[in-house]
Amino acid sequence: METQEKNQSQFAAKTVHVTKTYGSGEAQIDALDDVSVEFNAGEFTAIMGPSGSGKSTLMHCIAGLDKVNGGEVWLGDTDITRLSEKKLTLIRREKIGFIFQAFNLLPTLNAKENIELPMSLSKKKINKSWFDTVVQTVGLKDRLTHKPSELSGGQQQRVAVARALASEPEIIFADEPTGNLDSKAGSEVLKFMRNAVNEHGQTIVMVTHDAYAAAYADRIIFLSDGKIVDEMREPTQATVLEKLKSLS
Amino acid sequence: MLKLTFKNIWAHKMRLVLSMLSIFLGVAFLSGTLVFTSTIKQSFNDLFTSVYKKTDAVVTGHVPKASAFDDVQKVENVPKTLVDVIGTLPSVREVEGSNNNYNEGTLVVIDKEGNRVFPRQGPPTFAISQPRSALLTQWILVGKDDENLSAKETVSVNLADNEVLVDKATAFAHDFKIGNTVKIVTDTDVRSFTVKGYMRFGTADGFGGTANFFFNDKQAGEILKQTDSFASISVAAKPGVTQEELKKDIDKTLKAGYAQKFDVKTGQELIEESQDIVDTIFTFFTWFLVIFAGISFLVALIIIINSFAIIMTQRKREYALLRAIGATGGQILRSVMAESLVVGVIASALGVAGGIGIAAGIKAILKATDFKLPAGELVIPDNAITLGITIGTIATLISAFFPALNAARTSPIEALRESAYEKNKRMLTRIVFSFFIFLVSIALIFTGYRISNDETAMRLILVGSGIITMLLFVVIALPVVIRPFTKVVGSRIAGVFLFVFGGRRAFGITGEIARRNNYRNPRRSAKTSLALMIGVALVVIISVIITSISASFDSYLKQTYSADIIIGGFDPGDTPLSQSRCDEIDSQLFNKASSCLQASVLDFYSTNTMSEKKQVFAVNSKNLDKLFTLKYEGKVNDLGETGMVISKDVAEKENLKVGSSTSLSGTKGKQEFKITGILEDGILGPGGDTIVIDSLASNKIEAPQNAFLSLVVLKSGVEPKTAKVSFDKILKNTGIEVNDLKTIRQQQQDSFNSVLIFVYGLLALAIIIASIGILNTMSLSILERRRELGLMRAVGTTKAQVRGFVRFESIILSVLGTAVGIVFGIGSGYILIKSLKSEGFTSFSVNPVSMLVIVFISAFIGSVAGAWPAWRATKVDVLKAITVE
Repeated sequence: METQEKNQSQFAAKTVHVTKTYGSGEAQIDALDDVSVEFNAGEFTAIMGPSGSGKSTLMHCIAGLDKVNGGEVWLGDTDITRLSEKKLTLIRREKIGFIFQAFNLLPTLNAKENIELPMSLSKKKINKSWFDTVVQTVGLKDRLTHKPSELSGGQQQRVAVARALASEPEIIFADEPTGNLDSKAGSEVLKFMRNAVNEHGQTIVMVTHDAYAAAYADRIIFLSDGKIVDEMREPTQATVLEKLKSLS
Repeated sequence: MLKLTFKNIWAHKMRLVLSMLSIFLGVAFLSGTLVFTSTIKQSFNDLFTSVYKKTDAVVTGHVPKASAFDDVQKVENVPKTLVDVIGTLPSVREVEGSNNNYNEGTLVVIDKEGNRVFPRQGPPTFAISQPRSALLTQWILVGKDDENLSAKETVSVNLADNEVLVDKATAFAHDFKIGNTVKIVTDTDVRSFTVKGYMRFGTADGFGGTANFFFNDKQAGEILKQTDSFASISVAAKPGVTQEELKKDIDKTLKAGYAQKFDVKTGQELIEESQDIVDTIFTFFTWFLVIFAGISFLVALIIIINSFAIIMTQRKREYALLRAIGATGGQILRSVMAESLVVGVIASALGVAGGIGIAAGIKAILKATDFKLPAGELVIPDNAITLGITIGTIATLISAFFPALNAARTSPIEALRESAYEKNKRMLTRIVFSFFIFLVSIALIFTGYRISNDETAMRLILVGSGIITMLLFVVIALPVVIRPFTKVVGSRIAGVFLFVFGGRRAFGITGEIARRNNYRNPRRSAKTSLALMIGVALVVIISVIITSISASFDSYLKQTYSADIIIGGFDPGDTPLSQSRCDEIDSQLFNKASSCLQASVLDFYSTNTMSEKKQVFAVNSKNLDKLFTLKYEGKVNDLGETGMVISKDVAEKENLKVGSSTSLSGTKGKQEFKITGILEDGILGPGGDTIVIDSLASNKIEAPQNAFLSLVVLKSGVEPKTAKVSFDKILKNTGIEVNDLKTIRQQQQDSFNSVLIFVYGLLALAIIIASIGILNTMSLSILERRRELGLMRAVGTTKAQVRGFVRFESIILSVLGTAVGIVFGIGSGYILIKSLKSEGFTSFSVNPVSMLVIVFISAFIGSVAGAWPAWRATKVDVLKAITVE
């Protein structure tokens, strides 16, 4: 009991000796090779690395979107590698928020309905004041009844951020959230994510290859060939670029 | 490019099977229809050919060529003396007269309890004089060990007055085994016969489902009232004499020696005549089925279009790549068309094979059941193969063309972009255009209605084209209503269905997503429900027409008869009701009024010299207005020996008024009558020519006839049941039915309901084809929405929820198709029935239970058809769907 509470206070998610391989025999690729990493609660962590380094795979595995070949993946006090497909789905719905690079929204639902989707799916009551706060924060108040096709790329991404925040998840995973945005819209989205961490103690894990985006994080984990090769705290754009150069 | 075509066909086997299935079903139905009808037709033709195989000529009474002036034709018998006259001709080898009731009436056979063995509505029961010439008959006696005896042995059996031969099929079906008793009702008594042996017709145990009883000449003559005459005389020619020469010989002799006119026909002529009749009957039947096949093709067409649209969507990227590396749009179009040609030819060929299989199956079933058909080979007409393959292939090519064109026109960039959100084109043009079509259809229908009662065919053509135009309107307008329909009805009603079929997803966000998915591509949704709609509409129209006929008949019964008790059948020439029995019925003390109804064919004189044969009813006219529900001017009761009542139709045609005179003549003489009353309608139903005289008058000019019907009004306070007991006693051992009006109405209702079961069979076919369409469309949607599904799964939609809303969407589609189909079907049925009012379709009626059954069946089908796409939807790879490539 005591250890669990201790765990919770320390990390929101962690991997223990996680391996993930694609293919078999000669063509076998080790996407993740014995990765053990912890993501602290209330922290904004960025995962960086060159293409094919396994950064997206790592995120997918922690988020329960992909299966691991070995090791454990803990979300809070649950080892999700032991869960059934159905339980995993429910964990995603209730404890995790997602922001993808593109195609984050259902085209038939308007902004408000998209934000409420995970709660509607679980028929959970929507926390009205929190919903208002989130909408206020991302600045979507007068866009709530718009369909995604009527919103700009930046606005769509902000709706996605709002959706991730609205269900008050334990952890938010963002996969290149600014990849498809121009720099202005991109930095707006990053600011909202930063704010969520600062003001509401939200835990966020973001995959990116953009040093500018990574500089918004508290901590950066560098991946190469499926292994964690380095780590950095309080990064700036300059130190990140420096680091990336040394890694390649 | 061709290599690519074949690779493509192989690469998408499942989709291929689905699109082939709809072509296969359409072609199988068409070819099966053609093969089956040809086979049956051939069997009947063979049957009739064998009837006249050994006969070179047949002599009957003269049958005048059908003319507009003759209402009724009666074939007169041939005097027995003719046999000897013909027998002396040098060209004649053998001659034989036959007593039979082939031309009219039916033999009444009763069981121990006095009930009829063979129902009134079934195939006829024949009484036949035992064939005596081995040369002239196909009937063969069956020997001890079930062998056919030789023709000689057959004709050498001597039947006693109390012995009978029965066809083997009837004997075994109704337990008329050798030694058992057969009770025959004649006009005056009931005669018992002992079964002496069985007869076979050629190699068949029976003769097309009829029952055949063979008596000796004396008994046959008495039973059939042909003691001095034959129904027909068959002649065999001497070797070397042709049928034509024989015919000429007989014709010459008869013309010289007799005043009565006779018809002499060669065996060949008779074969051709009966084949013509078979042709006429089967042409109608074939057309009915071919029209149905046509509709199933239309439905299949819609489905194939969707199938190819799916294939095109699946290969969008592939085509984009091809376009990008320099393939022209034309090359892609040709590749797809080549593919559809291969698919079309293979599916059609399989369809033809399937159709032949189905026809063979039905034939086997008919053979196994009571439907005795002469043994015959399966006949495969050329058009079953050519039409099947041509239409199937062309239908496939047409359906593939538009999706192919679409694929060819897609620019490479557009194809590589990944978005499933379709922008809805503006509906305004569609609304305006469909409104115009609607007006045209209304105009056609009302123009049809204004056409006079005499030109039913013209009216039907106009109203029919109006209905088809209305269908076009629905086809065009359907996409417009998809959205409001889904919104308003989709949520509540479909929710109930889903609940019934085990789902719980009609409400909440998943239900909402299903609804919105349903109208994001209204044209596709419309196309999908259209397939089902057409099938359902067709079945509803047929069902409405049947129910309406039943209701019309019911209201006819209610409006025609005022009597409490109806004795006997409804058609002249049915169960005989002799004079003595009529008298006994009339003498019952609880009767308030009663009358037997006789029908005889008499010469009706329009002018002093011109006459035509007309059916005349003779009644006890004392209380005519109490027995029938009549609207009339003048008087209809107490007609006496010279009074006559006619219907308005006759009055108008013959220019007669109350008070005018006219004459009738029968076998006993000619007499003048005075018109005392004119009826608004016939006595036995609306329309038609009716002439009524009192039996007093009838007996003066014509020999007494058997009545076919007797009506009784009971004194007040007398229960119909009590009266029925007394009447049953009087009519014991006659097989004549005594019914109260209520029972008759119930009986006819039941018989129509059994026809409805056939309609449900058609429904099943239509729905199977339509459900393939739903399955196809849903699969297409799922392919296109792969990313959405992936996203939904990622943010926590469970597999059960995904399954739920996919199935819900397909249920909305099928309920929409069914609802529109029912509305359209009931509407068209109503329009059709109203346009046939002059033909006796007086009531319009819809069976609500049938409609409810149809709705539930199609909702169930929708849920089943959605099951596979729903399962597919849960298999969407979340990672692939959300990863940007």
